[in-house]
Amino acid sequence: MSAPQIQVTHYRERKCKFSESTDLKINGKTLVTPTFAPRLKSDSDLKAYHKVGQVYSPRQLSAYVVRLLDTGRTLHSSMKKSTLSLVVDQSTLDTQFTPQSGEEILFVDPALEYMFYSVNMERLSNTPYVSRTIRDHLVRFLEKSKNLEEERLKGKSKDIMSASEFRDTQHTNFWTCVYKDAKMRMKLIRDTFTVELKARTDVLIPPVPLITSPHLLEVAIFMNEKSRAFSPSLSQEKRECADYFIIKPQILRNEHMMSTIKEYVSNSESPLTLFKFKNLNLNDENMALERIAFKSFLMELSLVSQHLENKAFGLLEAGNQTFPAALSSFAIVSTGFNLDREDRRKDQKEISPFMNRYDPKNMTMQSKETFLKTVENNDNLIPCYCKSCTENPTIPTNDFIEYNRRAREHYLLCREHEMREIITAIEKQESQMGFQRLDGSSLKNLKDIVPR
Amino acid sequence: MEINKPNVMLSSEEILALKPTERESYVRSLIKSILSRNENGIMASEMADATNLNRITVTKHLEYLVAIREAYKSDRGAGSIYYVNGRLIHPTDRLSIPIGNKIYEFFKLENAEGHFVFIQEKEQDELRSTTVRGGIMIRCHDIFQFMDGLQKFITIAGTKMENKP
Repeated sequence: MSAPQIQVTHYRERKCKFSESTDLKINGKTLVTPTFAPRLKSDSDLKAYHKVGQVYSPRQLSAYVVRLLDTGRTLHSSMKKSTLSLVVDQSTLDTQFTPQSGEEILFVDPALEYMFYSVNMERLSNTPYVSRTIRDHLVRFLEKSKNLEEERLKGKSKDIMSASEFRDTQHTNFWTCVYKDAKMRMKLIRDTFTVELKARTDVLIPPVPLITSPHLLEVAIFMNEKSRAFSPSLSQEKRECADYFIIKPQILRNEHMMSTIKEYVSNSESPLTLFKFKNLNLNDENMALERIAFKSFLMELSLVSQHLENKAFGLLEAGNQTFPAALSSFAIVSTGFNLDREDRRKDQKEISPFMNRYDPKNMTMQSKETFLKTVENNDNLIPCYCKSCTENPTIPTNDFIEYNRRAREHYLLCREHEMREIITAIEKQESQMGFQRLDGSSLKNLKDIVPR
Repeated sequence: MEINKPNVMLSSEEILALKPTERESYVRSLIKSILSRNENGIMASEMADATNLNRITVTKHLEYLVAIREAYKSDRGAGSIYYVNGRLIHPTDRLSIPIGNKIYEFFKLENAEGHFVFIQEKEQDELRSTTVRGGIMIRCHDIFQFMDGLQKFITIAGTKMENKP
């Protein structure tokens, strides 16, 4: 006699064309959609997030995402009490997980795209929170890659595979083994779900590959189905299993694969489907085809979520697409909370301790220098109406800790404000507002993806 | 009669790859899921055919579900038909009372035999996952008689009952 763990409640007065605001009940906690769920990657992110929650009670920030490889340093205890003995493949970790404060919804993202992308691959191969099946594969892969690179440098053989070819082959081979070997598959699902459950996730998210080919799409669908079938026995029917697709942006242009995904999503029994288009930036001038495909994708999902009784969608690592996705019936949108520190590291030789700041008008990040100029031109007052900036209208220029703290608060509150703007526009039947909002921002190209 | 079952189930190979406790748990949740999709009842043999599981295994789990009142059965000739215990009359017809590490859940259910109050005893482990330990079904029109009986029993045995945790 267990109640469904995810329930979507639709209201006739909260629909406007392709936009909708629903009540999404997950594991007994209710979200008013769209909700912004920041992706947290450290204990300090979590503290900042909780602080904003305590001080400003933002309604549209009631969920957060932690990647599986970050669970240790994010949910690992700054706090007490709930010591758990966590066993993943014989390695025992006496771990204290931060008990959830209660009302927020936690998603633990397996983030297995790092089996393909080299960023974070090494971390993935070392973290005990990830199944040993994956770690062993990655250790072997990294070693082989190194050898291959050495051979290439020595010019030993002319027939050496290129690094990207080698990576593609190894990635596909691994998932083909998972697809064929029942034992390996069930172990991977079990290990992933065990850590997610120990981290007290509210929704189980299956381990799926980054989709780079039709074969890997087949594997992803298969993993979603099998994870869903297995999940009730592990979670005692207390956690719903979502469907999850991690998609390479180029796949958007493949009509056949996209329609397979849409068809699966419409027929799946899972009430929640999460998508991640890794490194997608549709504001780029060269992404015209992808923009058209993404718009059609948004339209389709919007129709499905509005017409099926119990169906909701989430977009992880939404990046620039956060606002238009929330506007087009994505119930949950999530993106990084690191304020582009990694990007800055790539571009700059010296790492600035100051975070970038979110510019709510342009919907993009701005460096400290640009921000200071903007403030200077505004009589030394921060031109922002978020609660944090209203309370502290001047900037602590030299104290980077305080500067970063406020940049984070400002970012979360701005995103929350955007979500509230969408809800208000839907209630007033003025979802056109979103189009105009994008038109006035630096993300002008994203106007093209908003279904109208 | 066509049996309604989940779109995807684990294959025999996958079931074998599970740990024994997971296997038990998987089979039980699968059987519960099929029972709830077939409100008109299902026989053990039909369930075994639909799931490709051994009939003895299926019967064992069905009987367990009957024992903890998650299901009930009615004997028809040579075999028994198993039914899910009922569905909530209204989503609000439920109450959960945690006492110690136990949770007592109250439901108002309806099934082919009428309206019932269903009291289920659950136990919670360190991960907050709950296991059903048992349950009783009382017909709605008998509930006050039941309460009187319980009250009488408390009066009789009252001196021996202590209010300590």
